[in-house]
Amino acid sequence: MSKRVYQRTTPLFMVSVFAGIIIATYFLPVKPLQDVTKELVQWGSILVGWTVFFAVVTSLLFLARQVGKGFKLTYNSLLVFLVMGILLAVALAYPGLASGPLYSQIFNVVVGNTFTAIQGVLTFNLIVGAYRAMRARSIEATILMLAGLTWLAASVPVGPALLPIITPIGQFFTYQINLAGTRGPLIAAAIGGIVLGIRAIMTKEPSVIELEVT
Amino acid sequence: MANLTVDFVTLVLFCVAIGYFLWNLSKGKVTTLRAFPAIDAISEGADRALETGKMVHYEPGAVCELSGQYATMLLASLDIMRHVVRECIRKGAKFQITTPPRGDVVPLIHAIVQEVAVSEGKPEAYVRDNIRYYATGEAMTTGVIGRFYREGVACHINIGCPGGYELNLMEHARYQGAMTIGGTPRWNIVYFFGMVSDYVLIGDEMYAAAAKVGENKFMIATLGASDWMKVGIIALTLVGTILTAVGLPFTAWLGL
Repeated sequence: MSKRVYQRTTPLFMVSVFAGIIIATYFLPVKPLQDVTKELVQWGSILVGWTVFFAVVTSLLFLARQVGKGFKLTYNSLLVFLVMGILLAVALAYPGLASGPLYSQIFNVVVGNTFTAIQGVLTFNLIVGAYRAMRARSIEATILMLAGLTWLAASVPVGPALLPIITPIGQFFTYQINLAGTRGPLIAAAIGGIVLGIRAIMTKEPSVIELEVT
Repeated sequence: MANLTVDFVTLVLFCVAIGYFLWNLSKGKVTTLRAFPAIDAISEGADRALETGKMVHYEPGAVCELSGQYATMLLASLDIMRHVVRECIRKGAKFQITTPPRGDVVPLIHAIVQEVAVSEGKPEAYVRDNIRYYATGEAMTTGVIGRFYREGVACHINIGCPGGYELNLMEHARYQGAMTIGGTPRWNIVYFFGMVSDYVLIGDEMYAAAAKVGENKFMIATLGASDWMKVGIIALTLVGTILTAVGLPFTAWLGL
């Protein structure tokens, strides 16, 4: 049997049928269809969960094979296993596993704060990006600069205190012009997404495997 | 029930419009699309990577997943990724892909790269280590930025469904002197892509660009349907504005 049959044709056919059932349930919410949809969604979750589990096992195997291939690879791999071992030990040592007090504390304090710090870097990059974009080098950039500065002036306390009219002007930019400008692309993008979705359901979207590979 | 009626009629109209353009296609009427500077720039990015010996880095985005509203963005992004990988393999440029932090997307990306490498007659161009997975957006941010500084980057492409993390990647790619190409239908992200990218695909341009690089007449033909629907919605908006202004319950008629 050609690999194309089970790598592409069969899964795409199944996707089309399942998508058709789910769409039918949306428009005709009767119990038999709802039951089938619920079952399909549960199977979807199971398959995704299994894929992730498979990915974790594959990653660990990959890391295990790096041990002994030079200092750097060995160090990185052992570090991952060490952290994993500590977290496992902490999770197993207290009731509640990953919901246990110490595990939650470690995760929130160490990982949570690290994540927050990384996200905080965004602030600085955003300022640099805004500064570069708002230099008056073209008509568009000049308009952006004026609108941005007006909104900034309207947002800080000293702006309306010195010039009260700045508040309605800033709000006009944001809630009239910006909002309308946002909704246009949003609607257009939604339409594009629907068309691509219909195309995918019709099995005509080539983003998935097109050819046979060995 | 009124809400569902409107939804159903809209879906049927979409299907009819797509069917019409496909019927036109079967009659030999081929739709053509304009050029997209951001897509043309991909080839330049590959050339730049070849000249500098640095990599082209592609990333679909940290919030991509194969379900929900981001599924279509991911599929369109994978079409463009296929084009990027093909350009790099043809020209012999180095490339790396950072997968979204979703395990179920990883095998799909591996399969596409492998398939392109085989179809281009260079199966050795598929190197497993060039496709990197990070479990979270934060890990991806630090990992990719680290790679930019260690290995260098000639062109950073982020087309798909990015989150806030991608601004960091764009900026650090710029610090490395890389070309940056962004694109997303996510309106809250496309703002800063407009600010920091050298080239940007705004909103549903990404879907059109994906169809264009796919060189698939079926895909391009269906874009005509989306344009029709846009015209319809613009007309509906104008009519609705006028009817509401004269005091008629237009939104109630639509069940909104």
